[in-house]
Amino acid sequence: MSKREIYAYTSIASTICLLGFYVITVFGWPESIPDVTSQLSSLFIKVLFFAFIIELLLGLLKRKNEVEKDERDLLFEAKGFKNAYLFLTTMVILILSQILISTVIGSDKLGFFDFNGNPFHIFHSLVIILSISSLINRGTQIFYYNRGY
Amino acid sequence: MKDYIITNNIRTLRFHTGEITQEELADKVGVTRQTINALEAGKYSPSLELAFKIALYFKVPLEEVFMYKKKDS
Repeated sequence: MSKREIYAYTSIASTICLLGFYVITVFGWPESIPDVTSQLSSLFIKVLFFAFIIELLLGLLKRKNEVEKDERDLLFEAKGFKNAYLFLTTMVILILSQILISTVIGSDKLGFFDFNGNPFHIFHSLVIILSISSLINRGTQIFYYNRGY
Repeated sequence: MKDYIITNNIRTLRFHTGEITQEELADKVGVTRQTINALEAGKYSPSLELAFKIALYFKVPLEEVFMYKKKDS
């Protein structure tokens, strides 16, 4: 497994943990499910710590004449960014359309999806969308590293 | 669906060139060992520049390293 592939895995793990923290903090834990927030938080912290240690070790363990990133890494990175960009622009267009629609037809008809009523909905949505696009980017890279191109 | 695939003789050429390791070849042509491994496994098609670099390293024509073949043959 190349360094770039390991970075992709640690980045995915870190992003999932940070997204998990964010979602639990903002939306809270659902009442219908037994509360495991403390266990999950502890797990997230451990994963983040391990990801940090792995990335630190990879940064320190450097061979002489080692190639950090080559054409294959750049190609898979480009494919990851392409997919993430597609997702990001689609979601931003959806949010913008929603704002426009709610302004035209009235905000009361859209219920929870009415961002005009609560600007924090836009903020939370964008944070989640950004995190998911990062996951798509790294996920695409891992997919190509495993399947080949 | 792709009808043609790019195959290569890198493993054989490494054997005939003093059994150099994937890492040594990777360092010589400026890529990671994993890229050489992916090339040998047929999981990656190199850029034209990398293909020439590999052929140049083994001192053979490009078509002796890489072949463009029909999938079933």
